[in-house]
Amino acid sequence: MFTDWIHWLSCLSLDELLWLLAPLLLLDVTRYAAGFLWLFACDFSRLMWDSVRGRCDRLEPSYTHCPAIAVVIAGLNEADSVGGTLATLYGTYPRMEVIVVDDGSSDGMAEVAGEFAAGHPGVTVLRKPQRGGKSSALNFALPFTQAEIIVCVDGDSQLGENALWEIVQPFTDPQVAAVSGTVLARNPFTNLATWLQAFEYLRCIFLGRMVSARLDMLGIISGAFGAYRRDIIQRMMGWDVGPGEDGDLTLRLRKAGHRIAFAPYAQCLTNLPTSWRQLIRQRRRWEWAVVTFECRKHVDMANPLSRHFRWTNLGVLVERWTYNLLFTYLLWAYFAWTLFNCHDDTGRQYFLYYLFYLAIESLNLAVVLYYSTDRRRDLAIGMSVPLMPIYNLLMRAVTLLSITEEMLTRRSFRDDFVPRHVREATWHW
Amino acid sequence: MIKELLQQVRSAMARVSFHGGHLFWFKPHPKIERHPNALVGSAVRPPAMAAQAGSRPARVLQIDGDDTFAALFRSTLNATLQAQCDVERVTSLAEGLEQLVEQAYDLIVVEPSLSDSHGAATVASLRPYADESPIVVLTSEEDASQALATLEQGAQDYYFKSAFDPQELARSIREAMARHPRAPVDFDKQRARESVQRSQEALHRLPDPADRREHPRYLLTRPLLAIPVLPDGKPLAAFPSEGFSLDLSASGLRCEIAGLSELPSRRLVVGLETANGDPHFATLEVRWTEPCPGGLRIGGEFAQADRELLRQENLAPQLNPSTYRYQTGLPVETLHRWVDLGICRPVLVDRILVCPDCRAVPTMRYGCRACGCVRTASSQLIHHFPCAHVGLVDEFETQQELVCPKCRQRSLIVGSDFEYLRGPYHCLDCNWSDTELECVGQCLACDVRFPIHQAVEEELYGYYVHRLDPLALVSEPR
Repeated sequence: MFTDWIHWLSCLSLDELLWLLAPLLLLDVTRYAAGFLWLFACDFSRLMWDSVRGRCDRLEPSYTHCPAIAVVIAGLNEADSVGGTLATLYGTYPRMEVIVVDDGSSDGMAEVAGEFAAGHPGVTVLRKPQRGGKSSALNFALPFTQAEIIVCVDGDSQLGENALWEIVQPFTDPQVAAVSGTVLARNPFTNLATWLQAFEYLRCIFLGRMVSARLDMLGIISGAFGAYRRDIIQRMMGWDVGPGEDGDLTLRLRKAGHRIAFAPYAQCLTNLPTSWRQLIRQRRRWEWAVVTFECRKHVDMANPLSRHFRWTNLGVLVERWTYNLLFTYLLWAYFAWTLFNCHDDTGRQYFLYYLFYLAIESLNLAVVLYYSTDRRRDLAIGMSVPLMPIYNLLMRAVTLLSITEEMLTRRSFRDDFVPRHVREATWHW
Repeated sequence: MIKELLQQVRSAMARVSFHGGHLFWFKPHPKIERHPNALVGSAVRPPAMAAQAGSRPARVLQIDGDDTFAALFRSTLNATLQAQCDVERVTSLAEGLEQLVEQAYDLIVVEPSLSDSHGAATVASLRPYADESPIVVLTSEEDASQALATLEQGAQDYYFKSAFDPQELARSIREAMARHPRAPVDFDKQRARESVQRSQEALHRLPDPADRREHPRYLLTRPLLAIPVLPDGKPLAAFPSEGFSLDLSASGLRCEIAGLSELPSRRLVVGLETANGDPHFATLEVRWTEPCPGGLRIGGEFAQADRELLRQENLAPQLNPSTYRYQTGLPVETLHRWVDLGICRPVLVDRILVCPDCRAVPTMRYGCRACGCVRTASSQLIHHFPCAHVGLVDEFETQQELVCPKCRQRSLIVGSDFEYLRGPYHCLDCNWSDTELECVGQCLACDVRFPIHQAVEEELYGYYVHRLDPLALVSEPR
């Protein structure tokens, strides 16, 4: 059977082969691969140039910038995990104050945080009696601090080594208004779902944002770990309502003309959803946000006549439109067409796609390992590459479903991420 | 006849308990050196005159090492027999034998466990010298087997100190005096056994209330401690003097103290032993003293109000309103002298927070963490639902209505458009703001302000003393 396939492949002419492989461009592996190769080329050549010029003895990175920070941990019913989060991050940075915001929890989260605050100075616990959503919880913390930088951390995250130091270094550039940290998996080997997600995070967040930031086209800062200048956030009047408020704030910052930076070695380990159902629900929320914000609310970023128009902002928008919307439809249309016009070589064609996908993904893995700090762990995560094509297709299907239902029914405004009285009061973009 | 006398004495003394003759806080008795026993053989003794009961004082030789019991015994007998007997007391067998050689006695009362002899041997060695006098054994050891052995050696009667009836002894003395001096003492084994049995029964029998009234006077004889008090409240002696009380009333006390020839101070702290063994203390103001054999007889009144040394103001920490500090009425060194004597003991009463500079009591208030002043204002925040904006109420307020500064929505209605949240506290004097106010203390004496976590903990000690309630002793049932 394999020899048949080889035979078939060798019978193809070059332009036939290229025509066959073209739909692979619809998958974001190729986009990532292109970006990573470019990134690797830039960095490696600079490294070679530096070593030739004799500046190759790179010292350990020293942290020179030390602004006052306020770590805001906003959560709902996270009494089990907030104690551990506080314990790991307390004391890791000198000029730090911690604000824990309890968004109307019913499991005693404020009490757990209060016990920690009683024993540790500089920890404030705020409690909202009524649940108002994560945006309002984060905004509630703003009047209680005068620190220069606000760092938002999730209640169930664990910060990596020197994470707070790493994330404040980009603020030496006065134009930078916000910095995104890297979100990685704390539980990559729990089951198949987390294993595949872990590699996806490595590829998309760790390296993918490196490319976007290098191109000044970073359009999202994770809510799990992000840093913002407090005065600018206050000028923006904080976060807006809705699932995806982290991306929304980033786009508003971009629209106001600020720069968004990325700190790849400011790592935050988060618990990935372990069941497929939870994972699908999470991805649906993320994809609704693409439609709500990039297609509706912030569509004025594409208007060349607006006051703060930047080509990079347009680039962010275009990237989202093509890869998240257009290519999703095209890909599934192509799939439907090939299945409809099924012939003997369809199986061989798919096998060819699989092999190429594998090759491109392995390339991505190689670049990940180049930049990685824990190569053994990342290689173990990278062993999930053979299953990535199927995972990717699944995620694509979820994307198709989500964007369609958001576009047609505004499904995000019926989701329980934001409490009902808030989502009924807010604008439905 | 001796029997009836002794019976009378015993019932009167049944109230008294001696715990085997030694009280736990008394000094141990000084060791008495063993005298060389040089008395052998018989000696010429003046004949004891035959007398009827009551014609001359009965001569009683008491051989007992216990000073306390000896003194008590003497006074009890004097009270019972109205000075009808002369009690000669010696503390060791050798001395007793010396006395017996020189003169004859009507009755010998002996405690078998002496410093130079024990048990039946004591009576055995006495017997040859006392074939004209009955020997009565008064012992602190409640062991019936010892009893029989002692009786076989020639004792007439056997009594336990803890259940001793003075009336019985008085009877036995009268019997002894009525007897012919040369008549031999018959030793009746049966009678001896009966007397042992009776003594044991007496140990376990409660006195009949009727017995008490039989006796002409109420005798509240109890062991007693006395310490003279200096005018500044300090105790005079290094250890208390011992004695026993004779009369006790709600207002005063009559007692006898051994070893004192004169009283150095007119104020004493006296401690009377109670039923459960603990001494209870009161201050006694001495009205008269009288020397008596062995010591001093004292009569006085219990001090009232300010004169009472052991009152609450002296022993418990009180707040001094002019210095704002807690102190006891008596200075601490004085109180510690009393503690060393064992009169009172320190008790932790409280642990308070005081000023770190001058240790006076502070007042507390909630105020600004930076400057300690109380002029703070708490701000109110509005959370506007549609745009998730959380800001001060002042930012929302306009002349007519509430307008959201972020999304410019007008005419906001509380509950449906927004909710109120409590904002941070701002200090009106300095530039501080925070979620919580801090507890700030201000010393009442030196006016220094400090955060309360810098206060010093001070332990307040009171001094506990078992206070004597004369009414409780007088009316206490046995």
